[in-house]
Amino acid sequence: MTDIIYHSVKASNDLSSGVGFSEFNTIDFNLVAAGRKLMVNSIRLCGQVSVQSAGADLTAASDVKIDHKIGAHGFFESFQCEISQGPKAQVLENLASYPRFVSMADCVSRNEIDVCDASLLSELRGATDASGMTVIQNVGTLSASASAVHDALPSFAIKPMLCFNRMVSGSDNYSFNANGSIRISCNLARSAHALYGQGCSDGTATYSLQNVRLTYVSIPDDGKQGKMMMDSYAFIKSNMISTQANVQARVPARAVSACSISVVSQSNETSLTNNSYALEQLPQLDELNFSFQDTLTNYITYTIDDLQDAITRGVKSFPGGDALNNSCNPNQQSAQRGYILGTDFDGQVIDLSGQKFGLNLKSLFNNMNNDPRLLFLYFHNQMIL
Amino acid sequence: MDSIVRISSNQATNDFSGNKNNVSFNLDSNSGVYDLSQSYVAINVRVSGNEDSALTTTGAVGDGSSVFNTMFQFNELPSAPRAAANAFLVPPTTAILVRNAQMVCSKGPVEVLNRVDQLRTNEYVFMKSKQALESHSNGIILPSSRRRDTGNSLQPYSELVSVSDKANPVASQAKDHEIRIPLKEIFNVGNQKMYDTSIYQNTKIALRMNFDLLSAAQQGGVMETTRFLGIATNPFNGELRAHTNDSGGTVALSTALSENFYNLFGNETIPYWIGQKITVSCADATHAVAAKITTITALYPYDGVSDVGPYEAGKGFAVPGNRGRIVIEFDGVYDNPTTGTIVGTNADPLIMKETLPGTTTLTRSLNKIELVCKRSASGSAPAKLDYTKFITEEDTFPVSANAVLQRYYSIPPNCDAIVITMVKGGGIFTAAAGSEAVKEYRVTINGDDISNRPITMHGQLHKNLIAQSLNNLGHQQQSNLNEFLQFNFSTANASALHKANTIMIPVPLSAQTQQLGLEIVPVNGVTFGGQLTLFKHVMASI
Amino acid sequence: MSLLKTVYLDPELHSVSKSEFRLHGRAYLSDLKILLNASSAGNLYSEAAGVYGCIRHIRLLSNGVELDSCRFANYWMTFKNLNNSNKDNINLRRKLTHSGLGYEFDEKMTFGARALQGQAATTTAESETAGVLYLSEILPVLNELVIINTESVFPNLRIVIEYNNDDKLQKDNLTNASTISEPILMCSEVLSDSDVAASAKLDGLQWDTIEVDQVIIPAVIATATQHVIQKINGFDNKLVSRMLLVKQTLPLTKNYLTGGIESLGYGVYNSFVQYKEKINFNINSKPVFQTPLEEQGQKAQILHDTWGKCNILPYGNVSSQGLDKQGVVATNKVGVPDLQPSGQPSYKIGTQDFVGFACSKRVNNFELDYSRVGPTDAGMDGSNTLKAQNDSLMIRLYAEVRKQIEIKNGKILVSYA
Repeated sequence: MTDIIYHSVKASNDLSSGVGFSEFNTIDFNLVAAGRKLMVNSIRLCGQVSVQSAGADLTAASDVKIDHKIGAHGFFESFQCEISQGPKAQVLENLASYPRFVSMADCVSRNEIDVCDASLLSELRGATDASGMTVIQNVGTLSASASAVHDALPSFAIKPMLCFNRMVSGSDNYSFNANGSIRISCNLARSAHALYGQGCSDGTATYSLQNVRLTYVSIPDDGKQGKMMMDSYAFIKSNMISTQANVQARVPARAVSACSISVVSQSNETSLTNNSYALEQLPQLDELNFSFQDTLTNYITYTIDDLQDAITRGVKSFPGGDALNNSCNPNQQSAQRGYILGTDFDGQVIDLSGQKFGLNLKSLFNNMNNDPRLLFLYFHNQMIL
Repeated sequence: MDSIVRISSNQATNDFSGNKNNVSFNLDSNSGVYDLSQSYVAINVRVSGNEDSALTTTGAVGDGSSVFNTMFQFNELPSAPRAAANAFLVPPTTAILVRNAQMVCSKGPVEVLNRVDQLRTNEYVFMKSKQALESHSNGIILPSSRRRDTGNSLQPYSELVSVSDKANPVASQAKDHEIRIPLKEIFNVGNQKMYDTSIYQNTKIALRMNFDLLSAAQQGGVMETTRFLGIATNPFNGELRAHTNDSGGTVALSTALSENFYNLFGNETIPYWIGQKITVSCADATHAVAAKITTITALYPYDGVSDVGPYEAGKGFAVPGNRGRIVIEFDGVYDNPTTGTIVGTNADPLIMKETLPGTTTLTRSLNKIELVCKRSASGSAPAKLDYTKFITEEDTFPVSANAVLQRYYSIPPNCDAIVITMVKGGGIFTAAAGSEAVKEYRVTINGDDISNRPITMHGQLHKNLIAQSLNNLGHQQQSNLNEFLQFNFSTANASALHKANTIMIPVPLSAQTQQLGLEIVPVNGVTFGGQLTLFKHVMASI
Repeated sequence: MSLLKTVYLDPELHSVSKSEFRLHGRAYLSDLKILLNASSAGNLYSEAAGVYGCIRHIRLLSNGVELDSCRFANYWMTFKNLNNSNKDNINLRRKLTHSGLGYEFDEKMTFGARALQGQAATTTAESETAGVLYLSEILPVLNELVIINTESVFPNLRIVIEYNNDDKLQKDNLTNASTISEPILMCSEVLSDSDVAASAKLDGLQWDTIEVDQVIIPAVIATATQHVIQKINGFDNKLVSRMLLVKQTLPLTKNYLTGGIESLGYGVYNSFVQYKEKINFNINSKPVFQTPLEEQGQKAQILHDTWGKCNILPYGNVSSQGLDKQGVVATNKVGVPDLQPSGQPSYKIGTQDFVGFACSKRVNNFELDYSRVGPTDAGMDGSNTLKAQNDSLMIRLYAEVRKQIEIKNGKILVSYA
C-alpha cells in the first residue's frame, strides 16, 4: 500500500484574496515534491467562479452562459507545461486554443447524458445550452423559498488536458528527483470568449476566478524512472473564404497520429452573444480530401463526399473518439454543434515537421466570401520522456 | 500505410428499385490483404419529399424551397398487422438490410448464412446501448431525440439548419446519405483482420438484401408545443399544437397551456429549421388568421436591436425578453386584413403547424452500393483462418390454443451457443403468434436439464443464459434491457416497449453431435404457434 | 463431459428475516449471484438502493469461520449502484438492481430514470421483478478467488443473508408493504478434476474487505456554526485503502413528505449537501488535506479520482440548481432533474453529496474534523419538518480494510493484515 499525499498549490503570482483572476491574466503554478513522484493523471485545477453582468450578480433572467460542453475549461485560453528546473528542463507543450480542443474531445466521446457523472459535474459541464447558464449562478441553501440564501459562488475542479494528465496507460509516475520541478502556466480567456448569450451584448459580462489552486497527488519515489508516454497536440489555424480551401500545413510535431478539424464562422468567433467555442457546421460540405507529401494516393483513396462519412472519420480521428457514443448527430449539427472533420493515420505516427499535410475542402455555400469560416486543425502528438 | 478503397457492386446499373435485392462484390485474386473487421457495405441513398403534395386548399403554391426531415422506415413484414406497428422500431444493426449472405472463395464456401436480418437483429439488441443507437449516424433511423417538446429527431437524410447568420443564412438541403453495414455484423468471418487474396484467390460476396422492405417515410408530425410569449403591448403566444398526421384537425395538449414561458434554452431545443414548411393560423374570433402554408426562410438569434414585430409586413415574430430569443421569418404576410394586427392570446394562440408532404409523394432512391475495404498491398497473413459461423435450422409449429411446444434438435459438433428466434411469417422483430406470451421454457442437452426449474421468460435466469451465450459468441454485452428501442419513445409510451423474444442457450463444447431438447410453455389461454429458427454457432476454418 | 455446470440452488433456510445457502459440491467459480425479490401490491423499489434495500447484513462462512461480511449492506450497495457510468446504469445495471439510477432525457429535456420496473404481487426470484446481486460486489474476498474449493479448502461453505424488513429501507413509497421472496443462488459448479485439484492448493490470500463505522452529529441551530472533532475507533490498527463518507438525516422519518408515505428525494438514502460544510480527516495526527474540503467541485473530483465514475444527477451534489429555490416554480427548466408536477425543482437536488479519498496507510488514530453552519431553518417543502441542512446526521464511514486468510493444517485463520 503506497503512502499518498494530497498537495495543494496556490498560484506563484496569487492576487490578493477576494480579487480573483480575470480575462488575460496569467496564472503560474510550481510543482515541487522532493523525494516523491507525481501520480499520473492526478493534476486538478480548483477554484470558484464569479460571473457578473454590469457589475452585478447574475439574475434568473440573465442570458449569460458558458459553453456547457466544457464547463470551466472555457476560462482557460491556453496552457504551457515545462520542466522548469532540473536534469530534464524543457518546454513540453504549448496548448493554444485549448477550450475548443476540450469541446471536440467531449463531442467525440460523450453522449449528452454522460454528463451525469461526478467528475464532469465538478467541471461545471451540463447537458444543454441552458445548463451553461445555471451552473454559473450563485448557489443557495436547501431551505424552502423564503429562507433560501444564494450566497455561495459555484465551485469547479477541472482536470486540464495537459500532457501530465494524458499519460498513456503503463507510463511510470513522474519523479521530481530524476526530472525536476514542473511549472504549469495558463492564460485566461477573454470574457467575450468564455461567456456568451444575449445578456452579453452590452459587453459588460465579466468573470473572475477566486481561490484558484492546483492540486495533485504524490507517492514516495522508488528511485526508478520508467518511460512516460504522453498525449498532446499541435495547433494550426486557417480559414476558408471561398467555396474551396486548400490548406498545406507543416506542423511542428514529430509523432503525429491524427488530425481533427473544427469550424466556426469568423463573425461568431468575435461575437459577444454567440458561442465562440461552438463546433459549427461547415455549410453545405461538398468534398473533402486529405493528402500527405502532396499525394492523394495514401490511406483514404477516394474523395469524401458524404457528410456522415466525414463526421464519422472526424470522430475516429480523436483519441478516445467513439463511433458508438458521441454527440455528433444531426440534431446537434443543425444547432451548430457537434461537427468535426478529420482523419487518423491508420495507427501510424508521422513526423510532420519534415513533410506537409494537406487538406482540400469544397463547399456549395456561395456566400462564403461574405461569411468566411475559420478552420482549427489539431494534430494529435505523442511525447516520450 | 494501408489504403481504404471502394469496390463497386457487380450490379452495374445500380438499379435497386422494386424487388431488385441482389448485390454482389468481388475481391479479386492477388489484390491484397483485407482487414475485413474494418470493412463495410456502403449504401448511398436519398429520401426526399415533394412539397407540392403538401398543399391544402388554403395553401399557397409551393416554391420548391422546402426541405423535409425525411426518413426511412423498415417494414419487416410487407403487410399488416405488423407492418405499421414495427415501422418505428429502431433496428439495432444495419445488418437488418441483409436477408441472406454468402462468401465463397477458391477453396469453397467461407460462410453461408440465411436470415442474417433475423439473427443479427435479435443478437445485437443486446450489444448496442440506447446511446450507441443515438450516436450511430450511419444508421437507418436515428432514434427519437431531445428536440424539446416534439419527440422528433433529425435524420441524416437532410442537412437541416436550425440557426444561422441573419445576413448570410445557410439553406437546408436534402442530401445523399451513406448507410453502413459492417462486414462483421453480416459474417462472423468479418472479424478477421487479415484476409489474403493471394491465398483465397477470387472471393465473391453475395447478398440478398431487404430493399423492398425499406420505404421512405416521415415522422408523425407530432409537434407538441413551443413557448413563445408576445411583447407586452401585443400579447402573442405562439404555440405549436399537437396534431395527427396532417389530418386537418388540431388537438391541444392540456399540459401545453399551463407551461407558458418565453425562454428558449439553447439552439438544440429549436424545433424549426430553415426551409421547413409550416402552416400558420389563429382561431381567435376577432383576430382570425386564415391558415396559410409557408416556408421558414431564416432563423437567427434576436439581437435585441432590430425593429421586428409581429405585425409588420414581411417581418417575423420576434420574441422579446432577455433570454434565448430567436426570430422566425416567413415567406409572406399574415396580417388580419380588418385590424392590421395579429394577436394571439393564451386562449387563442397563433398556431404554427408542421406541414408534411403526402406519404405517396415521398420518394426513395438507392443510388449506389459499394464495399469499402481497408487493404494493404501485402502482409504476412496466416495460411489458415479460424473463425466461427452459424448453421441455420428452421422449424414451424402449428398454431393452437395452449399449445406446449416440444421438439428435439441436433447440435452439431463444436457448437458453443444456440440463438433461437420466434417470428411470424418470415419477419424479423416479430415474435411468433402468441409468443410474446411465452411463460417459461425448459432445455435439455443430451437429456440433461440445464436447470432444475423452468426458465421464466424475461426473468433473471433467462437473462443469465443470454449473458452466458453472448460470452460464448465472443460478444461483450452492452444492454440487458431486452427490448427494441422505439423511435417515438416517450414517457407516455413507456408501456409499449417491444421486447426481444429471443432464447439463447450456452452449449458445452463437444467434438460430438449432441441433442437439444426444447419445451416452450405459453401463458395460459394464449394461441401459440408460428416459426422457430435455430442459429447454431460452430467453429470453422478454411 | 462439460467442465462447468450452471446450478440454481434454493436456500436451505428461509424466513422473512433470514436466508441461508449451503454449497455441497466440490468447487465453484467465484462469480456467485443471488436472485432477490420483494413482492408487493405496487410501487417501486427504492430508487437509490433498488432491490438491495432488502439486505441488512451478509456473511460468507466456512466451517463456522466468517471469511467475509458486509454489515448494513443496503447502504454500501447504494453507493455501489452509484459507482458506475450513467450509460451502464441505464443499459446494464437497471434490470439487475431495479434502482432508479441512470438518467435520461425525455421530450421535456429534464433528467430522470425512465421505465422503472415496479414491484408486483405474488412474484418470485424468477420473475422480471427480481434483481441480481453479484456477491463479489458485497463480499470482496470473492474477487481474489477464481475457483472456491469447497471440498478441502473452504468446506461447509455458507452464505447467510439477514434482511431489512423496514419498508423505509426497501421502498420510496410506503403505501404497499413488501414481502421478501425466497432467493435463488446462481453458481457454476466446477466438474473438472484437475481444476478442483489445482484449487485445493490455496494456502492463503489477501483482500480489501468493506468495514463501516459511524458517528452521530447533532442538529445545528440556525446561523450557528457547528464544529465537531470526533475520534473514530473502527479502523484503528488496520491497513486502510479507500474511504467513503455518507451522511444520513435523522430520524429516518424526516426523509418523507408530510404524511410520511412518499419519500423526499432518495428517502433514507439521501446524503444531503450541508451549508458551509468543511471536512477533513486527521489520520495519525496528520490532516489528509492541507485545507479542509469545502468546495463541492473539489469534493466531487476527489470522489471520482478515488472510486471511479459516480453517477450523480446534475445538481445532485450542490444545494440548488442555480438561483432556483425550493418551493418556487423553477426558472431553470432544462438540463435539470425532472421538475415536480408543480414546476418546482426536484427534491433530489443536493441529495448525493459523498466524500471519498485515498487513505493508503495503516491507521493508528483516526479523527473526523467536521463543521457546518445552520442556515435559516425551514422545511424543504415548506410544510414538512425536514430541514436537510439543520437536522441531526448519521455519518457512516466505509473503508477498504486489508484482511488475510491463512490455511494451515486444514484450519482457516482470518485476520487483519
